[in-house]
Amino acid sequence: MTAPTSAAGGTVGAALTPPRAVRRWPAAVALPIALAAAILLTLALALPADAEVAQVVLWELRAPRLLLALLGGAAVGVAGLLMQAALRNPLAVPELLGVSTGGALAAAVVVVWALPVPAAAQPVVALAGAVVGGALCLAAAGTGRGPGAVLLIGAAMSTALQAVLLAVMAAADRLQYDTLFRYLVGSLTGITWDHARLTLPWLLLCGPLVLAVLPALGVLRLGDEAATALGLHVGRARVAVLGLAAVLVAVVVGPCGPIAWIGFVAPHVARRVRPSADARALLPWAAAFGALFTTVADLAARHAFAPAETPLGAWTAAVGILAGLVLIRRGGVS
Amino acid sequence: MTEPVFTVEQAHYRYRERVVLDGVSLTVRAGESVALVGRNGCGKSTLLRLLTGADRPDGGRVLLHGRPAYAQRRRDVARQVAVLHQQLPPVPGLTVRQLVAQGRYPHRGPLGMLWRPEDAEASAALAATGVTALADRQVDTLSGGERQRVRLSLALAQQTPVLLLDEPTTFLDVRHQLEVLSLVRRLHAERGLTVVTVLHELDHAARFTDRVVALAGGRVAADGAPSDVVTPALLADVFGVRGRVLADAHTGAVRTLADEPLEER
Amino acid sequence: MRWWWAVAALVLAGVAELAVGRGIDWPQLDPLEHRILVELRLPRLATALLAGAGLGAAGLLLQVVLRNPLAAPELAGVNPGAVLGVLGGIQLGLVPADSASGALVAALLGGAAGGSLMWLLARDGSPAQVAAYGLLGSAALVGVTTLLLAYQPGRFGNALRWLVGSVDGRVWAHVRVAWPWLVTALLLAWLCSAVLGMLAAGDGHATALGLSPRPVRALGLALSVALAAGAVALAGALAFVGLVVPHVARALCGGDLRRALPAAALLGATTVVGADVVAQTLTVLVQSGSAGQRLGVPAGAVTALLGAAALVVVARRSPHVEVS
Repeated sequence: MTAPTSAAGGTVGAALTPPRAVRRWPAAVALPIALAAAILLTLALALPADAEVAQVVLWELRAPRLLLALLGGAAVGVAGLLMQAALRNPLAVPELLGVSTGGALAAAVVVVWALPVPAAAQPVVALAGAVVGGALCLAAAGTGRGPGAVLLIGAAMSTALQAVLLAVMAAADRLQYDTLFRYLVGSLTGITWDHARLTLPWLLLCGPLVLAVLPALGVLRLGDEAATALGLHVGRARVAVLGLAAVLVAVVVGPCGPIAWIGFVAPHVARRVRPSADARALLPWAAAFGALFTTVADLAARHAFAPAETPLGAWTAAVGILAGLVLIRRGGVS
Repeated sequence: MTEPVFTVEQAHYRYRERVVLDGVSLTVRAGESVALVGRNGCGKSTLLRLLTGADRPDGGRVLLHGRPAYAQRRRDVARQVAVLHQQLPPVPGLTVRQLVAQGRYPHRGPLGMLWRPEDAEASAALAATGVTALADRQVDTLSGGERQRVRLSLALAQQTPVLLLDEPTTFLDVRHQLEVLSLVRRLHAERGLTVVTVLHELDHAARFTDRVVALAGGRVAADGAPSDVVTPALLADVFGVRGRVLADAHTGAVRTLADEPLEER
Repeated sequence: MRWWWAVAALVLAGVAELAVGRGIDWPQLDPLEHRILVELRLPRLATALLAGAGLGAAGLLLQVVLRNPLAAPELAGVNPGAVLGVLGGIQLGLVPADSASGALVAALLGGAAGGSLMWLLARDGSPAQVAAYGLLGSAALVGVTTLLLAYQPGRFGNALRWLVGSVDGRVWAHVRVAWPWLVTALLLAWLCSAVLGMLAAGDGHATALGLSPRPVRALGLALSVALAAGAVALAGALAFVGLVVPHVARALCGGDLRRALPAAALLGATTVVGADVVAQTLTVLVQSGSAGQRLGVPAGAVTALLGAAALVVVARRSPHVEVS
């Protein structure tokens, strides 16, 4: 899906910025190859020798995990792109929407106070908490504010949620802490088809919605005053886009916990490869890079210190921080 | 002749490969009132910075009372020379009185500022520019004209014999322009201050100062009494306009009329 | 008049801090309760006072010296760096987990490093850019901390103290190390306040008055790092104290640093003591029974909620806050 779009976009972009066109073709070819390689490695690496066992492992464990890595990574990448475009700020990251913290907080409250919730329902609880966290931030921001105020309010709210989360965590004992670790760091360990079944319908629902808000994003890019002059209710449009981003992240937070930094890095790398301010052109790239990074990070999480698994979030955070510093230094973040 | 306050000898200054000053020589003597004029970017403000020693020339010498200006201690310079910069950034929460009191720093030093925040000199400086009534207002709430007078009284609070002003009339309407310039003129006359003013308006230079120095191409293009220097030739050579110079019987100064831009050579 | 109110509020908060919490039955004190009062509650009060004063003053210094209303120790990289310094030091075995002086040194080094990094990244940026970098830095800190903790979740409870900020369990040994440092830095800051305040109107202004801006700014930055890192080493990164308190202090006392600085210290101390009173009350309500050995509700969680509420109100009132 990404290859034809990028080829068509490539010719348009080439007319605008000739020097970079040379370097875009390899990316358009290399990205699908890299994705395919990551998928193959995820499925094939260190399979048990016994064919029957291998099939069970492949189908019951690796396939759902791969699916969530691909789709979850793509969703978070797209959410980051939506946020950066809606707030016109390259530093607007999904972490500032209170979504992942809300999910962790809901899970922590349930676990620490031993509320009667079955273990299987935990992802649902986290998902609900994530949605509530995002809704809280957006409600505090309201529809009448400029992008800067929205970002500041979001940051303040998520910091407060984080503090409450840590306060609740303070009451956890060692066992509860292990259960909650996923929601603090993010991990794809133990993902099954149940988790995938929870996530997939939401993601499918969000797909068309993302396409639907793209025109509004194009108008928002012109700045609030120009967008208002074109007849867009800027405040509402912004909250709608952010709400969509929040749902995209929440759906991933439910089963996996926060996959940190993908939402920051994927759109920026997309912008490097495909220099364009138009969200429509960037969308497939951001999604593809999000999927690629998450899959690769999960590979590292599983095999780097095998047989022990490292949390996925630790890898994405490590890569994300490095990438962030490099981007800032190179002026990629204006 | 009085002793020279500033002596500039063949000053060169470069800013990012661009030559700003290309051998400027100039002497300002005590009690003079000098206007620096020239086109945008001709180095007027740079020359002012060199005079205060905030910057050092790449070549030549800039002397304040016979010693290199940039090599002197900042506080010593601030006891000799007060500067009014083009713009003052916002100072949230500071009142006029508090801002003007900071002008006493060169005389009182860091610890002296702690104990007695205001003193007689600061009050006198407020009175001299007529802003005593504004003393307890916040600086950021003042209008442009009020703010300019506050900054002038800040410079006066330094009690220096020399006053440098960098385009003191920018952002002011015509009434406030005349107010500020007359005030400076009066201070020059009453207290014998040495004044160097960077000015945009040739008419202001001609009317409110005793000597006009025109900079062009990084050099001094003309230097002398306003009636001698402000001529159609100066308009053409320095400002690149064809114009006329008329005598104004009412003020006794010359007035310029710029008619049209000349072809760039 | 306002000073009286501020002092009265501080005294009130201090009395409440000594009075609330478990283990003491007022008004008759048996010897054990007396020991609890002297050896636990008094140092706890002293910790809250010192940490709050340090963070409030550090925030004000940063705002004035960098001429940036959003420059707070937590946004300028100082607090995250200090926390990372302490946690990293403990995790790598360089700092004994309960050594107060070790934590102070680690926090100072980390705070200075974090502050310098932010300064290098964002010195040419607008105030809002600095804040944005700061947010990014804080997020990075959480990432690095999780990396550090990934293999030793058992140390999480200890790490929590610095991450969220808490005055729980601080005893005289901690206070004894911290107070000379913080009080000296506060006094120095006040002695320099007249000079530092002159930076508020711009470098050109300072130069014209005979003050070299660079060394003075360096001095101001060093003092604010010393104050913030000292506070963090003692009680952790109490969220938003360094951001919100200075604004309140300036609103009450004006922009003159000579008066705003003591006001910020006083208000910061009051805030943290008050927040800990609330936190202790909540701890008593929430934890009944066996959880005595655990960390109570951290004061930092309360300051975070209060600060977030204040920020949201301010940001909602001014629709033109621009962060890019």
